[in-house]
Amino acid sequence: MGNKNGYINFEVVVTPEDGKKSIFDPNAFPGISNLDLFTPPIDKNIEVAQKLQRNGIEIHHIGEFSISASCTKKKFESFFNTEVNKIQLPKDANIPDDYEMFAPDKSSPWKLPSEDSLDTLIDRAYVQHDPILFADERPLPPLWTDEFRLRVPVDVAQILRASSVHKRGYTGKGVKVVMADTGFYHHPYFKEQGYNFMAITAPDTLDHSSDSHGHGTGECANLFATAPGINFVGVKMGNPTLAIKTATELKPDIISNSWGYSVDGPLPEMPNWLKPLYMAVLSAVKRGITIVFSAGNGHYGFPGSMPEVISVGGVVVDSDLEYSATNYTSGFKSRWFPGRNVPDVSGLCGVRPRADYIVLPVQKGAVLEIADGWGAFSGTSAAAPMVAGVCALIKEAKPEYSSADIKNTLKFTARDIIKGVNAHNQEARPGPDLATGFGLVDAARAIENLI
Amino acid sequence: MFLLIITLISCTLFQEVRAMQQTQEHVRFDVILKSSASGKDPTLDNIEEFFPESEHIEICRLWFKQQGVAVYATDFGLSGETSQAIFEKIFKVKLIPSKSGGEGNGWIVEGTLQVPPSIADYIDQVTLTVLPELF
Repeated sequence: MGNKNGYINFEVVVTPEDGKKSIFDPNAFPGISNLDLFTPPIDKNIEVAQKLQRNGIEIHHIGEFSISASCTKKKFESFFNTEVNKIQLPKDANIPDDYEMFAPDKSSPWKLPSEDSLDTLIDRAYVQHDPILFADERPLPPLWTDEFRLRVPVDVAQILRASSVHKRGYTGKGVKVVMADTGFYHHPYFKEQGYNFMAITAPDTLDHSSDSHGHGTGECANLFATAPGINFVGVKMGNPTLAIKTATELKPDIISNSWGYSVDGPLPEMPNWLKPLYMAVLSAVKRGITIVFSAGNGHYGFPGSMPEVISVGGVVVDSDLEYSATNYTSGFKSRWFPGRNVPDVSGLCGVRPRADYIVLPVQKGAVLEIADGWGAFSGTSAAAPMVAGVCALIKEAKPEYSSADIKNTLKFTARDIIKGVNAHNQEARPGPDLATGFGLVDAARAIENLI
Repeated sequence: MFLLIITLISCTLFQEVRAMQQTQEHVRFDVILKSSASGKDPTLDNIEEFFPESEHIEICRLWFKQQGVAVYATDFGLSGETSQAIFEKIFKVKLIPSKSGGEGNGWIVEGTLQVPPSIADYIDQVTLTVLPELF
């Protein structure tokens, strides 16, 4: 893309031979059947290209119909005896704000160069404008520099020490992980990374590939960051009980959930309206599925408080690689399940007020989008799928491991966090605590512990 | 005997509510069917005892379908969705949209929910579905 910073890309078309026609002839109607009529001999194109090059023009490609060339704006103006100006673009053409076009306008002079008789060899030369990219989303995360942020997959994988595990061949291959959330838009990022990405709808929802909120699409990128080789299936959810049922029927190894209710504490006991969900989760665990839930962002998160699930809190890592508990995440003693401390372990999570810490892909126009099909959001919603990914690495290394085995492995290999307080004012200190549970999951230690 | 009280959802339970959206006219609900374990507290050890007879699920599913309700079988009963008007007619209650539940996530139920006699023998509880918050 070169028509910026004083550089001009242009195409040169040579004059037609006897018996042939110029493509610029007003009566020319080129089509598949008569293309030969407009095709100059390749030798002539080469000759013109050589002469252009000799006169200080950069040649990029000698094509069948034209020569692709470029030079500085100053050279272009002197070579063609013209004046290049910025073209005024129509305001209603939906053209990106930063798109610019430079070319001689109609009032500018124009003369083909006489050097090396080029004026007799060139039919036309014209500026080749940069195309407008119609893709709605960037395939790679943008580098926003207004704040310190993490990018997927590299930053997340490195901080959770999953990168070295991937290099040893453990990527979650053969492990099926299902995630229930707002939808799963097939963002170009997933294609660029080569992930095994699939999505379905729960029976009470429509169009799994549409995610107007952005939550599901973004959060599953955290899962892939720690386990890029998994077989992923997203379930677009409506009724959460039905979503868990749908996920369970897929017979996955792991179900990751970045949602819940702030009820375990504010309500003295489980209300009837949560029993269907509670039973659906128990049923899934009974079938040998490892269930991961976010603990909440200052919430008293259920089902994250169920003893049968892996409950995930948050740890923040700053630009100096200092690890601490974050004031955005939950940590509490369950009122409904005596003896149950939440969370078990932690993933990466931002801080108050917005926790806009990890740059994640979203559908263009989604609620969570900041720009170019990307957003920045990272409560325990982000932390849970990261941990679910590490569960997948463990499951690949030890397929026979139960949910309880996986939870224990995560706990006893986690990096202890001894600094900071969480949203419930629980202080991180040596050993397990309510601020971060057993600490930040460490994929490398978890796998080393097993093999 | 089959009168059930629907739990009202208080906004005070929700900090920084980011609940998934549910349109006010659209009602989702969950049905748990009776089983050999009805009345017990579900645990990991006894959860399979809560599976109802599959025949009972099918009877209830067809009944709801005949009333114009979309229902889907779960391990423990059914999850359904219908209009506010049909729900009110079936269960003889009045639903009042509650903004306090967060983004249209709640209803205030006026009256006591009554399970229709045709399926009452099979039903343990009917509850309105509350959509979760995204963490």
